[in-house]
Order: sequence, then structure tokens, then C-alpha cells
Amino acid sequence: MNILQIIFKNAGKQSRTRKPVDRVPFPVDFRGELTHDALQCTLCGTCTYVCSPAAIEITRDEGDMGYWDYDAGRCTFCGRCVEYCPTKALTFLQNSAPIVSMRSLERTSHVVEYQHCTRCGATIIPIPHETLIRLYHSEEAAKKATEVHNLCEKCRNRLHSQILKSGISGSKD
Amino acid sequence: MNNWWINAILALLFWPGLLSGALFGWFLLWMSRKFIARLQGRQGPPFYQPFFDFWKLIGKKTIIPNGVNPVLFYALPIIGLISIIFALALLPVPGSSGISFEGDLVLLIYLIEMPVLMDVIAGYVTRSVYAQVGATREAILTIAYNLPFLGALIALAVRLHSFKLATFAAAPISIATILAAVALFVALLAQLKVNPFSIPNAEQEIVAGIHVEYNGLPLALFELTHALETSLLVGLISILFIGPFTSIWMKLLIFFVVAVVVILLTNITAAGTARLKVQHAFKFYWTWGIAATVLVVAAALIL
Amino acid sequence: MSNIFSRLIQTSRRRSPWVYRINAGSCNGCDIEVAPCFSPRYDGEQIGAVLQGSPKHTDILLISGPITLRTQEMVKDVYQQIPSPKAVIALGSCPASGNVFHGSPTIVGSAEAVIPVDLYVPGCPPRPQAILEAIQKASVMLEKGETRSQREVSHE
Repeated sequence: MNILQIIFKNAGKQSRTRKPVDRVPFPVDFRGELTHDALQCTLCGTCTYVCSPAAIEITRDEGDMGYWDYDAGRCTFCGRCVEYCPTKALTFLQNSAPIVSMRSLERTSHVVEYQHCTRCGATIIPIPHETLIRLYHSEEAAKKATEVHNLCEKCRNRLHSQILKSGISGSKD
Repeated sequence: MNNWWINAILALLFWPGLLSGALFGWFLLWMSRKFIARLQGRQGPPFYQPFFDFWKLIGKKTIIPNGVNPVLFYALPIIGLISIIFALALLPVPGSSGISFEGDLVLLIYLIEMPVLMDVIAGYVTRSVYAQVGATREAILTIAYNLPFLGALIALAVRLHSFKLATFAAAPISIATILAAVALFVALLAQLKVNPFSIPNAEQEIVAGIHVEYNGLPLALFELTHALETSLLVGLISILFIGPFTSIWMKLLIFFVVAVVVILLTNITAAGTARLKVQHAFKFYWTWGIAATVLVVAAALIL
Repeated sequence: MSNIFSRLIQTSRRRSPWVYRINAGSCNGCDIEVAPCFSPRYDGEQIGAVLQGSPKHTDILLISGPITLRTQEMVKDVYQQIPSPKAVIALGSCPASGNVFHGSPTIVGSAEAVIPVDLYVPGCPPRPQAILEAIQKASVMLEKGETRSQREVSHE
């Protein structure tokens, strides 16, 4: 007769049902809709590497832009890409991805524009400022490093070797 | 003569026949769903749910399973529906302009059996294993629950020296009436196929029971038949209690209140129990059903 | 008169979506999330949704899993058994693309290749509320005649 106690207790109380509009709040670290900030992205390819269902695809064009493609309909929402993204360009929103009626609407494609090396003009994607601040722990140091990080790999190597050479030869400045 | 026909048609179509019977049945079905939901701590369906369920099924395409005679496929629910409408018209609800004659109780009992019979045949003709299992179970259960059902009605008839339903509705309330109502209630659980006797339509084991292959319009007719059956069987218990009252509004009120109470009791039983096996249900009716019948007959003869 | 009836039937399509769920090789995650839709917390019955046991009683088909080669015939079969009008909801990433199983030789990979799909619910698995929302959306589509089963019939 325990069941009678339970059902009468239920009948006495308000129902536990939420209306469809009355949403259950999402937990703080909910892995919801994935957003990508194209300004922060360096197309490094870490997200593609860690993505097990291969939902993220990166195309580095020969021209002046690259593409970051994501398919929400192929994502397991494991969160590895967000965890491993070095520039924190990927974040999860506090809501579920929208319900769509066509497969193509689940796909996101972002364009990441290349920039040019300030010395030689080769195409590069510099490290975003926020990431530099995180790396150098201060605004000023980051600003100082920006000059270096706006160079392409070759120019940077050359710059560093010049600094090294001048240090060894002992010449001031 | 002309007047009699008009009355008969009114009784068949409006009160207490098809229209009011369907509305009342839908109301009772909504109430049972809502009440079970509330007992489980849920919100439950909105008021108009059974009504829209019916109309949606009407609007769907009907697929006739391979190898099933289409005439039979459509005829079975229609025959069941027509017999239950005629049975409803016989019910002496207050204000009914209906047909009443000596022996209409016997006709009513036969007409109540018709939808059950149609259900069983429908289960067999649709050539689905699940439906056949459901039909077998329903046929077995019919033998079981008719024992207290018929016993109670016959005992009352013996007590009142009449097989006329109108005398049932006019009789004063006595211990025999109350015992008969209890026996009818016990039978009602299996007639409405609610827990613990939801054996023929056991969703978790035999998919959807007898109606597994039915869809669209015929299924809608079966649902409508079920609604009418609900209002008829619940009404049959209710009319036992309206005898002592003289005013028609008072009679209607008592009719309504008793019907609601019966549905609530049914659903408390349904929510509080699990499904029995068919042999256990059979055993239940053949022990407690016989006990109830003996009690009712004894009360009817002695008191 | 017939106008009133067709209006009534359209409204009732929105008000009473009966749901059938098929597991086409899913990991059970989506199926577990379907169950709370009909539990006290979310209660699908408040919008009229009932989980049905037979595809013949159904309006909305919930499909989960990446459609393995073994299940694809059954999925097709179940879809054809549902009397039209009908809507199909693909739950989670598996029926949309194959998810982590993409490229496996034992899966078809996309429900689209087997049956016409009306709504995709992203998530792995989707939340029960997202599933309820999808059922609501699908019932509105059924009312307006926007599901693929209805559109493809009207084109003929």
C-alpha cells in the first residue's frame, strides 16, 4: 500500500511539470552551441586534430584567406576543441544549437583573412593580441611582442639571429 | 407512432446517444488521463485532448494491411460503433426521450458485448501476431469479467422483478444496489482495460494490442467506440443512484457526480497497480467475482 | 462546411502529435533522453504528445543512431508503415551525418539517404527540452502542411 501513499502525496502537491517555454537553466559549463571567433583564429589546426568525428575542417588557401568549417550535425560536443584551442577562439554558448529543417543549416563556414608580414609582405596570420597578453602576462610586454609577431617566420628568424649576433659581438644596441 | 420515431432518433443521435455520449466519454477519458498524470506528479493533457486525438485520426490516410479484406477492415469498427450507440440510447439517463420496454436490459447486455466481439475479431483478421495475442487475452478476459457484471445486473433484476432499465433508474438505493455497484465497478476495470487489467492492450509487451494494425479512420472509430463504451458503462453504474431524487436537475447532478467518482476510483486503482497476467486476472474474477456475485444475489434476495 | 472540417483536422494535427521512436544503431544516449520527455519533469502529454507502440498510430517518427546497414531496411519499413501526413525528426548528430561512426563500412551514415527528414536536432545527445521543442515544431509543420511527406504528395 506504499504506492497509495506516493500517489496521494503526488495528487496533493503541485505538478512537477515545466511548461515548454519554461526552460531548465543550463549548467555553467554546459557544452552547448559551439561558436567560433574568426578574429581570434589562427587556423593552427589543433581543433581539427583533436576532433574525433572530424566535424571541423580547415582549408588554407593559397590566396589571401583561409576557411574554418564546422558541422554541428557531426559534432559530439565533447569539448576537446574548446579545451585545446590555443587562442581561445572557440567557446560554448549556454544554449543548445538551434533545431533546423535542413542539413545545410547546421554547417558554419568562417573566413579567416590572412595578413601580410610587415617586412617582406608574405601572408601570415599573426597571434591575436588577447593571446599575447595571456602569454606575456602584461599589456606592455604583449604590445612590445606584437611587432615581432607581426612578422613572418623567416623574418622573425632573421630578426632573432641579428639580436643574437649583436649580443655575441658585444656591440651596444 | 411518428412521435416514437422522433424520440428514438433523438435518443440515438443526441441524448444520450452519439453526440452527448461521445462528449461525455471524451470528458471522462480526459479526466482519467489528467487524473493519472496528477497522481504521477505530471501536468497531464489539456481538456480537449481526446477530441483532437479523434479528429487527427480522421484526417490521416488509412493503410489497409496486406491480405486483409477491406470490407471487413472497415465493417468491424462500424458495427461496434453502431451497437454501442444503440446501447447508449437504451440507457435511461435523466431527461432521455429514449426507447424503454420490458427486457431492454437483456438487449443492452448483448449490445455491450458487440464491440468486445468486434475487437476480438479485429485482432484476428489483421494478421498481426501482437493483435492475435491481444484478441486471445480479450476473449479470455471477457469470460472472466462478465461474471460479476452479469451477476450484479441479474441480481438487481430479480430484486426489482423487472428486466427494464427504467425500473433500475427509479429504484431506491439499498444495500443490494451499493453491492451491485461495487460488483459492476470491479467488472468496469477490465471492461475499460485499465490497470491491473490492461491485459489486452498491454503496450509494453504486445505493442498496441488488438489495434496494432488499425490506423486512420477505423482506429478513430474504435477510439470513439471506446469513449462511448466508457460513458455507457460508467453511466450504467450512475443510474443505480439516481432513483430517490425527483427533480431532473438533481438527477443529472447525481448522475454526473457518481460518474466522476467512479472514474476517479478507477484511476486510483489504475495508477496504484501493475498489470496482472491473464491467468491471475482470470483467477481474480473467478474468486472475487463469484464472491461479489454471491453477496449481491444474497443481498438482493434477503434484504 | 468542408472548410471547417479541414481547419479542425489541421488544428488537431498540431494538438495531438503521437510519437514513435526507432533506434537505428544508436548508442542509446538519445533514447535515454527521449524517456524524460514523457516523465513528470517535462511531460510531453501537456502538448498532446504520446509515445505510441505501433508505427501505424504515429504522426512523428523520432530516429536516433547512424542507420546501420542492418537497420536501414527496417527504418524504411517503419517509415512506410506510418500513414501520412507524417514528420521525421532526426535526433542528435548520428542520423544527420554518422557522427564518430562516419566512414565506417557498416553504416549508411545519413538518415537523409534512407527516408526524408524534416527536422534535425543537434546535440549528442540533445536535451529533453530540445526534443520536446522539436516535437512541437514538427506538429506545427504538420498543421501547415510543410513536412516533406505532405509537400512531396502535393507535388505529384
